[in-house]
Amino acid sequence: MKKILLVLAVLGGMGLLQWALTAFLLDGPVRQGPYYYQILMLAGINVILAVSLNLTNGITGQFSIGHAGFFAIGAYVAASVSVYAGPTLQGSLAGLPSFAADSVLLLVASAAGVAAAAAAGWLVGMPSLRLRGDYLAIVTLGFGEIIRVLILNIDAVGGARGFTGIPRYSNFFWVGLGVVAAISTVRHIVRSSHGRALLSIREDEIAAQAMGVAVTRHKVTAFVIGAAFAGLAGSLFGHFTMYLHTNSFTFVKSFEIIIMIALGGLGSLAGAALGAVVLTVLPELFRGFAEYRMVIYALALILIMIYRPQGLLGKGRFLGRGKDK
Amino acid sequence: MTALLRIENLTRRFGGLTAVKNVSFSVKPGQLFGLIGPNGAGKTTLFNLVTGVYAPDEGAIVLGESSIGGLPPHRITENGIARTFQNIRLFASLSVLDNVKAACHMRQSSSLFSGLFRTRAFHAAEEGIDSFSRRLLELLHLDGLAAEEAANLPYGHQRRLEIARALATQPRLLLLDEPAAGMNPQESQELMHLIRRLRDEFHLTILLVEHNMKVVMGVCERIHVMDHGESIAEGSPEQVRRDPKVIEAYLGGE
Ligand SMILES: Nc1ncnc2c1ncn2[C@@H]1O[C@H](COP(=O)(O)OP(=O)(O)OP(=O)(O)O)[C@@H](O)[C@H]1O
Ligand SMILES: [Mg+2]
Repeated sequence: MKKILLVLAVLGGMGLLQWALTAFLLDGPVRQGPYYYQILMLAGINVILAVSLNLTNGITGQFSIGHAGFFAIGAYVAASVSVYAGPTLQGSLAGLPSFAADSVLLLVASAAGVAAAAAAGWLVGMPSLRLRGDYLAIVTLGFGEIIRVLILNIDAVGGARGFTGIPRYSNFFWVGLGVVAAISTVRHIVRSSHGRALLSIREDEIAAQAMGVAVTRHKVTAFVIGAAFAGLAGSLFGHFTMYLHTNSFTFVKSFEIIIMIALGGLGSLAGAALGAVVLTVLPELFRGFAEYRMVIYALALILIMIYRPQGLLGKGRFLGRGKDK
Repeated sequence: MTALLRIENLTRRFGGLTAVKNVSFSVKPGQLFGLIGPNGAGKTTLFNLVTGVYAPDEGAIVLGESSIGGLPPHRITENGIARTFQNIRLFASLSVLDNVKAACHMRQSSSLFSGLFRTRAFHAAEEGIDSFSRRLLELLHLDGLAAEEAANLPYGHQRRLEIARALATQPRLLLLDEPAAGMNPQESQELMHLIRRLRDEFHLTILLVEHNMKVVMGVCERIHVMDHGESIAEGSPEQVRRDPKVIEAYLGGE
């Protein structure tokens, strides 16, 4: 009962905020809304990305550097559903008021984006997580680039021109809900028996196995859940920007998400969220230095590792407490 | 009585070195069984074979009725074998309590789904895990340190936490790899009591590797001796102590 009330309160509060935003701040047919609204949305999407990557990199202690690949899959698959199947679906929803019809369409598109990203996560994770060591890093790095190049060559999603004509279904309400879903999912996993199993893998894989933890299965599960949320972030992203280009999904994006969780503190949920917000807002404040982004990120990462290896809010260390066999 | 654990002609090579060579012995249910031998004799390798860290090159490992040689480690643990590590392998940055709780996961966890939605089954399982883990910590005299980070414990306490964690998997057979290493005489005295108590209260069978002869001779009912990967003797503590081959292995030079 209490749980249902809580869920209703969250939904209601977010709905109210959304209404206030549209009524007072976003009047007129704006493309992306005012500047700060845009940043708010991007921050929310980045929080989903950082929190979900943290499940693999921070909690389970594996090193994935291809999160942007799953982000891209979610974005492009969901957008394709809206662009190509949307009109048909819209016809069958003709009786509904427009905000309800939009919501249904967004949910259908996101479901497809999430499912595709999760499936890709399983395909990538299954072979590479069986092996101990740095295979995951190598495989995910390759995977992210392959996805990007693949998309670049699919004409139906715009190829190098970019994917245009995506309807604008996502808004503060849905992104906020996505953030709540990502944070509460990861939080509930961490604070459960399954979470302790994941942490034990991070701490010592051999000991975890000896204590009966099915290491590969748990790693893959965590990885797939992380990929699914990256897919959700992608779905929300495309339906917000209304335009997708592969430039948003390069290795730089994956790297950015890693910095977010390193900055906040690997393994810390609040840290990942904080890191995501900081890394969304800061570059906006320093727009003049945009071309030095990668240099600044690299420097930031080095400084974090030297002066605060546990991140802003974390307790563990960035590269874990490595143990040899 | 039929054996709980049967090791049959077990062999494992590392490159040119045969770490375990054609070793056979069996352990009866409820027995306190010692495995001794000089450094590098192959005792830890034998543990690693029994617990699935390595697959045997030749030979069989049979637990009860089922052959477990070459199974993945978590399956073997599921079958009822638990171990401690000679070079302590605790979950260093987790709390003492969470170290034990993590090892409860295999037998007592609720589903991932019920954890996500915090169902009644989830809360029941978590309560069960919590009280069982705390009881184990009490048994090992670690209950005052439940919230401490495992890495901060003194050496002797870490060894006891390793035992508590192994017990959390609810084994039939417990393998202890040098549990007295780094303990002071009083601690190792207490360890001997503990080992007997575990056998009696948990109806465990215990396979013990230990260099501390006082502990081995004081606790074990039967002892198997290895040297350079091979079995050289087996018998009661008295028989083993007098066996010329054993004396030679321990005292004889290279
Ligand atoms: N993974 C491995 N790779 C190569 N050689 C190994 C490996 N594991 C063990 N050995 C070798 O096998 C031999 C037996 O080692 P093992 O650790 O089993 O001995 P032990 O009886 O446990 O000795 P100690 O009493 O010192 O612990 C040693 O010579 C060791 O160097
Ligand atoms: Mg050894």
